Amino acid sequence: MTPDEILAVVETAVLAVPGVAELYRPRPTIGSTVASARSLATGGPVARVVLDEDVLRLVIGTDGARPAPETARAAHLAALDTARAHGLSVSRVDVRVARVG
Amino acid sequence: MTEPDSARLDALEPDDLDGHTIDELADYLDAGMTPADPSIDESPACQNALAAIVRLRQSSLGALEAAAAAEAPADESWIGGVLANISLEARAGRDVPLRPLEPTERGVMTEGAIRSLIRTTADAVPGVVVARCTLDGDVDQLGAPVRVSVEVAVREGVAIPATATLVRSTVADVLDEQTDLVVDAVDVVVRDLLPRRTDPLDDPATEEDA
Repeated sequence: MTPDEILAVVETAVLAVPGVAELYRPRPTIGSTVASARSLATGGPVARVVLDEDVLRLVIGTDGARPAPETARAAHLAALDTARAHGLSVSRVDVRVARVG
Repeated sequence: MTEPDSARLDALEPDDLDGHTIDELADYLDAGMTPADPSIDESPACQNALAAIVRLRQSSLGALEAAAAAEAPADESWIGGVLANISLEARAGRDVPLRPLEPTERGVMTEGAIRSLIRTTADAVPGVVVARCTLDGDVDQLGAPVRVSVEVAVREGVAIPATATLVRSTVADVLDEQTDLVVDAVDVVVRDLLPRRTDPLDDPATEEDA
């Protein structure tokens, strides 16, 4: 699988976490801007999960039914496990909760 | 381990409603949110602001109609002030850390998400419309004490002390459940009175009930 395909799988895994209602695009960094430009150039979707070197970055909205810290932790675990299971080297997952309910 | 924040291109995303104004969001609502605008639909700050505008409209419409019927001036400037506050509060603001349990985990909530949560919670108290809410303290430091201030308008006929107590307790409860903030106090300030609604079923927390 290509890194982009792995990130798409991670995205699906995060969206399946109970309490995660939405996944937003993270703020752009130099690395993610290059990746976005590449996706646009190839006509592919712009990823909502970004890999900056070995750090995965997610921005989620939660449904408000579960506590947001618990949901963020579960999203972190889902992203980390899925990425590593597909051979992606990840040292940390940054999860930003941008909306509750 | 990398530090992606140092490479963040903040200049690409100004600290506003992801490039939109509160008026644009109101117009988008008026248009039935069609045609769909991904830059609004996929922005958490815009979604926070839109939800607050919808609640404000639902809650203030009856009051403004009542004021108009009584030939009192409909206080559009008050609504405008609340909209301006919604615009400020919905912005992402500071990163509020979540307590990590693993070395691989770094979680934060945006200040905008927390302010929107407070506004949603307090708006749900019968007879209350939130005018403004603020978080005072070093919210970007885990464990630092934080003081929450909620300024509200209360509908005529609603028992103010009981309602203020209810706002204070529900906001404290939701922050305890939904954040890792250490809340020192929740201050509730009743700033305005809104005209009584014509439909009594809309306001169960009246003086008679309290």
